[in-house]
Amino acid sequence: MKRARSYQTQKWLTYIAAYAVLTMFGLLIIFPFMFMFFTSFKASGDVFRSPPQLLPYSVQTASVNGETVPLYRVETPEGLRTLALVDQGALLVIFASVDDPSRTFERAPRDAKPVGGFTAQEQITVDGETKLLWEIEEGGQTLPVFELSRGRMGVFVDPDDPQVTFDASLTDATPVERIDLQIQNYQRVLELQNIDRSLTNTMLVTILVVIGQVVTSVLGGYAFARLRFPGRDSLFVVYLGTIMIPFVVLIIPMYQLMVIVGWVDRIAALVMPWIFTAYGTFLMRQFFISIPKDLEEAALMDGASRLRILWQIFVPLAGPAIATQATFTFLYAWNSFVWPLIVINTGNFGNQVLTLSLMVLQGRAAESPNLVMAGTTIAVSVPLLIFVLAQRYFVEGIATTGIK
Amino acid sequence: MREGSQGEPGSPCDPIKGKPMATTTARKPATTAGAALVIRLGAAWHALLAFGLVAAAWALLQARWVQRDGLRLYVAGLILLGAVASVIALVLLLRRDGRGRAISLGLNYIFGVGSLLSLLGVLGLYISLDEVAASFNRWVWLLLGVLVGFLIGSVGDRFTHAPTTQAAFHRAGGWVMGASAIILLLAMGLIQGVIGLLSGLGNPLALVLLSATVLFGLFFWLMLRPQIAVAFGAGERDAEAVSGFLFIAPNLLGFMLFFAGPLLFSLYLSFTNSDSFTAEFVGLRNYIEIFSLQFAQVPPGQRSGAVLSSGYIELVRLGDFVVGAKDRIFWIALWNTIVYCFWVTMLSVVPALLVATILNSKIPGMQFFRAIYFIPSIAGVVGVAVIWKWLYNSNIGFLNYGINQVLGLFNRLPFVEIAPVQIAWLASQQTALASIIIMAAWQLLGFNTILFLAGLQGIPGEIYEAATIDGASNLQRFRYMTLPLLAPTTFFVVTTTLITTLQVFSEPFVMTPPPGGGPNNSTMTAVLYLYQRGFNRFEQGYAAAVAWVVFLFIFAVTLVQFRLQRRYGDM
Amino acid sequence: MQRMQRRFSWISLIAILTLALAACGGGTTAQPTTAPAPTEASAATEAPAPTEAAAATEAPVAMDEVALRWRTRPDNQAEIDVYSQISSEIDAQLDNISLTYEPGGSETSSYQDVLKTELSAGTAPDVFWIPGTDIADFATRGLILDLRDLADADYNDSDFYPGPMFHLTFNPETGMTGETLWGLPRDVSTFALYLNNDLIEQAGAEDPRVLAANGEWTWDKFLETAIAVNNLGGDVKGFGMNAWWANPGLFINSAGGGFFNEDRTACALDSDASVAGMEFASRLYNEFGVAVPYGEDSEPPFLAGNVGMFLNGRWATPGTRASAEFDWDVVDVPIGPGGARSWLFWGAYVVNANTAHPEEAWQLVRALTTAETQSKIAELGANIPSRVSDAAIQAFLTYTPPANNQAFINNLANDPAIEGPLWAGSWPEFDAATGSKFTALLNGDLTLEDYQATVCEEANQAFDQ
Repeated sequence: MKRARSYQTQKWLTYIAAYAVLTMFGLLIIFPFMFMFFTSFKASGDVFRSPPQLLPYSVQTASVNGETVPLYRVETPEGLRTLALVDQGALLVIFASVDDPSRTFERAPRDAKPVGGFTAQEQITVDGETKLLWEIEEGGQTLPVFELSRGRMGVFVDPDDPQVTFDASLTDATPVERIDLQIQNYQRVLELQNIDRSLTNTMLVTILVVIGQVVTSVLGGYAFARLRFPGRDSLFVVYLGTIMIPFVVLIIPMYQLMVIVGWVDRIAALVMPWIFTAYGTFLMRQFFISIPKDLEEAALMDGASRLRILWQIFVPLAGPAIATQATFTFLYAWNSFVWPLIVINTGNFGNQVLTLSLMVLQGRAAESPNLVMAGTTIAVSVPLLIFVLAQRYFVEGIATTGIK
Repeated sequence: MREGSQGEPGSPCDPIKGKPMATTTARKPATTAGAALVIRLGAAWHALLAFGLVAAAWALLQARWVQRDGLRLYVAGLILLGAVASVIALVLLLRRDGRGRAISLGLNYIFGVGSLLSLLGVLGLYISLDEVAASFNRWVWLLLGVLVGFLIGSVGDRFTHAPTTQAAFHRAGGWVMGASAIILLLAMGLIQGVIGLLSGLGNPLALVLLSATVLFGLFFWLMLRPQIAVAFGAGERDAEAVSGFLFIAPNLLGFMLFFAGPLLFSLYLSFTNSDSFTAEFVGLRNYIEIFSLQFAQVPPGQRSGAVLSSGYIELVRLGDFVVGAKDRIFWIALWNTIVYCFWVTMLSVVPALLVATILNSKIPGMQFFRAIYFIPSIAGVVGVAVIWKWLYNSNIGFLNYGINQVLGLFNRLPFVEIAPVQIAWLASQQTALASIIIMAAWQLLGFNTILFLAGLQGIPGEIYEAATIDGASNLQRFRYMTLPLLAPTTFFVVTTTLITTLQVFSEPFVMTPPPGGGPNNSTMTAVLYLYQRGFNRFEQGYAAAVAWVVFLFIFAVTLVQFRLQRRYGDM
Repeated sequence: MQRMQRRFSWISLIAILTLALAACGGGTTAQPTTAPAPTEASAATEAPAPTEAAAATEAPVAMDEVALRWRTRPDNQAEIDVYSQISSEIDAQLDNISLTYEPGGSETSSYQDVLKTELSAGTAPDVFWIPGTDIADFATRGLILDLRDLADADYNDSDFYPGPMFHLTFNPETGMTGETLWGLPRDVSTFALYLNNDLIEQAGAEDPRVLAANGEWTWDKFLETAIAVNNLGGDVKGFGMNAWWANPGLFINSAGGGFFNEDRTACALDSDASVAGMEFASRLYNEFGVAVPYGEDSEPPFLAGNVGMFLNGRWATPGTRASAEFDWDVVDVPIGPGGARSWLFWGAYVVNANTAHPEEAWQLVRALTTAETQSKIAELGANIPSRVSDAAIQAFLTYTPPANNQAFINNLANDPAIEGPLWAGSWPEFDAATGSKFTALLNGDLTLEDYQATVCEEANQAFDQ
């Protein structure tokens, strides 16, 4: 009995530890996307903040005498109130005398002179803290001082009754902010880069490439796995070797080829060259080779054609392998960047794909990260949706490659 | 003949009987009168073809509309080669040599497919993809129907205990999906498109190509006839070989056209000084420039300029020795690539194994976490890099902010005083590569986790149970059972990660200011370097040479990897 | 049998290559029939219906109209809109030309690289804009047309700033200027210091605008201001500039140095004057630590209100207008030992060497650089007209904020260094080599002595031997 309980406790402890680790990793993974998502809803003035803020805020304002002024929470004699700031007041620094720290002076920053000049300003140590040394004029004398604090005395009014004014330190007042989603960012980014067109283009290209690759790979993989023909094995080695070729090697001649064929700036250039893949053929061949031979031999005896054997025996069995290949291809086609960059003219909004749009957007809206992030959110959300719906297939697909 | 009813002649996946007439195992040529006629016709066709090809090659050499001389010669040469092959086929066919039939099949197939593809090009099929994309944009919402169908099917998955209900749901889902797909295709103008394409057949060029396609197809089909095969003494093996070639053909042709051809061209480029406007053959000069290294001794404190020959620049200094290189940046780029590859592999594989092990312990919510970890993989490099660039901002980025918040917590402890940091992540040459490594590892982590998880789930649980009974601790089980059993998966994960990371390009290209690779070349990677030489400075010949060196390097790494796998993989 | 098999595979390989080419051949023959499509398709998709009337006149292309495509490198949508509008206006103006404007990629998406790729493939537009640094590269490769013979009587080189015209009329074969005409400058631009007046006031530093007006805005004062602002503590930095050749270049020029020697045939960054400029810049970063780390984009922290002074060109103005929520302005660049020498940045419209319609292209270049067109572009706030004309300058001064637009004009008038193409070498190579050295020095990874000894080592390889 006791042992069982301790076993239970141990189990729970393991669970907690496991969840702690998983959650930590999960937060690390998800945070950049949260940043992306929330930034995409920020107003342009809210994007650049120090310290950074995750959520999109906007300062609440009120209209006082026809002017729009920001609202603050201010400590008043009647308690905490929401007031409108009508005058920021001048910035005043409170300096304390070095000789007698209880003597304080209020000065505008520019009325104090750095002792020794800014480049080599002298310092003193007060209560263990290092302070810069300044000089101020006081009663015709120059007095060495250090800074105690600084702030502005703002003039606040009751937004409902502008006659009532309050003077309060701006440092103690907190601006009234509210989470405010700038949904129009999305509208703007759609207008800006024709992102919806890029989105559907990317979908179309991905669909065509996935279908094309699966078809050619299944055919080729079957031939490599099951049919003996002269030069098969050396050809297979060549295929294997080319998996490792970095695509950049091919950019220059491929571009020339596209020019000859007349596909520059065309969707065809994004689809046609990519429906033939050595990697997919390799994957399929590996899978088909593991299928027992007796299955097809029986069918061959019955006089079934090769195509029929492939279609009726191999393809149904190859579900997971096809899912693998489709997944890899999907990820690859959806995210391909270098080739569209070269072959699709950035001015041709009609034929752009998402990665390219994002890159251009990043350059064109460099000072509006909110718009860039809105574009990124659109680009990420569609594969995310597909992934959530078809998670099983994705995961199974990738998994089969690992098991071998 | 039964076979006659199946498949169009010349279509890339012509269904070939696995068991043609050859079951009789008749190996002797027994030519019927019909077969003899066909063979004679075939020979005549090849004579005609050879003549036509020679004429075409001659016309091409005279033609002015192909601007590139090299290309024109290349094409003309290949056409002449086809003519020669055709003549050989003619001779061999008449001699009833089996090789003649093989060449004839090959020639007819290739030219048939070639004219078919050209015909489609003339009809504007490829170009019309642009319009397809435009109407896809207009009608994409119809895909929602597919989604609904998919959801209906998914609902069916819940009825695992009621197979009929499940099947009904699946069928309904399938119908909805299919119907929406068809509606989408119709809405996108499938019918109009086909009519439009067909109407292009009025074009004389299209007509010529159409008849060429038909003729090639016809002779290909004739040569495949069982009687002809018998006439040439072709057996079961030859039939299988023909099927093999037909199955591999679509893939192989595409591979040749879009991969091998360009690859060979880039090899040629690497021996030239091409700037893509003019090219001169320079032999091995590019390769020599890349590999030029010089070793010299230099007294400490002295500059290397005095001891290195002109043109060589100090690459690295080891004590008294200095290594100079003609192309310093290439070596830096190669080194950065290795460092990047090593760390990304380490940082994405080891934590992935840890996470996968935890996920594998059958705790509830595993699927949820698995999904979360996978998100970066589907987000794409460009999107991710754009996000991380902001996180890395030294002044207003979240990363430094977060670090300082944590440091702030420590500072609350007595006697701890750590000054806030302001790490210039992407701006400092000490941290820039590390920043990109962290981001890449982050992105690959989830993907590798899922691979490991699958591997772990493939290990039968009974083995563990036995070990537990034997009193093995968790750690022991992991070390002596899980790791060896997981070895194939580990090799797969490591190989995939290595190959992808050795080709790193987009990350530094997007994250560092143009032209990329900064600060002070600290994020310059091999592929980025060759991109810059090829497209920024337009030394495409040199860039092609760099590309080939990089390729050989990657190839070597992968080869070592495969060797290791062969040696240890069967643990 | 074995031998036959091997031969079979060889033959099939060769045959497949032939097929590949057959397919290509088919494609090529198909080209003539489909060739006009690109322009039409892009016209339909790109032109975001500028004005109804223009769209209407554009649609039925008259038989004798020449179709021209032109391209710029816009930084934002506002620019694209203005250029599209200009395109349709010029289209309506010139009876014999029908125009298509293509917004090119931004700097981050390799505008020039894509352009060169398209030029090599023969798919580039007829007229395009390129930055001044690239003129030599494009001209010596023979990618752009010498327009001198096309220039009509009413055209005059001296209508434009002489700096850009020096390079635009340079003949690389004779080494003489005034002989050729590679294009016409679209605009000029220059650096100024963007100020966060709030921070400067809080720091108690003197107002740089007042100092500049009195001629006291020296490097010492600049350093003082930067330190004073930096002393505010926290995330606040005194100064920021981006990692781009022109930024360190400003200090080099103002110290009396320069990138190149007199006849621009060798690197002069290791001259004492040039090194003195970099020494000052390096002190900002390493000795006083008052600058945003070099290589970090300084714009976000500046817009977040964390940077006192931000060195940038006129092109940063629209973004600052949109996002800065503090009191900001601009001031002249500070006076160094060699004066206050800013840069004169420029870019030019050039004509594709392979254009089918050189006369019409030249007409277009003229139309794109009229005073009228330039003032429309200048209204965007990102550019300064390239024509030497008081009216243009007067108009420019009215495009506020910043209130102190005069700072840009002062910097232009103050003997600025001309953004220079490299006629005797490769600018991208020079840029890559020196950029690394600047970064290493400013990040404290290279001592000043080592910098002086090595900065020109790699950079000199960029020059033709």
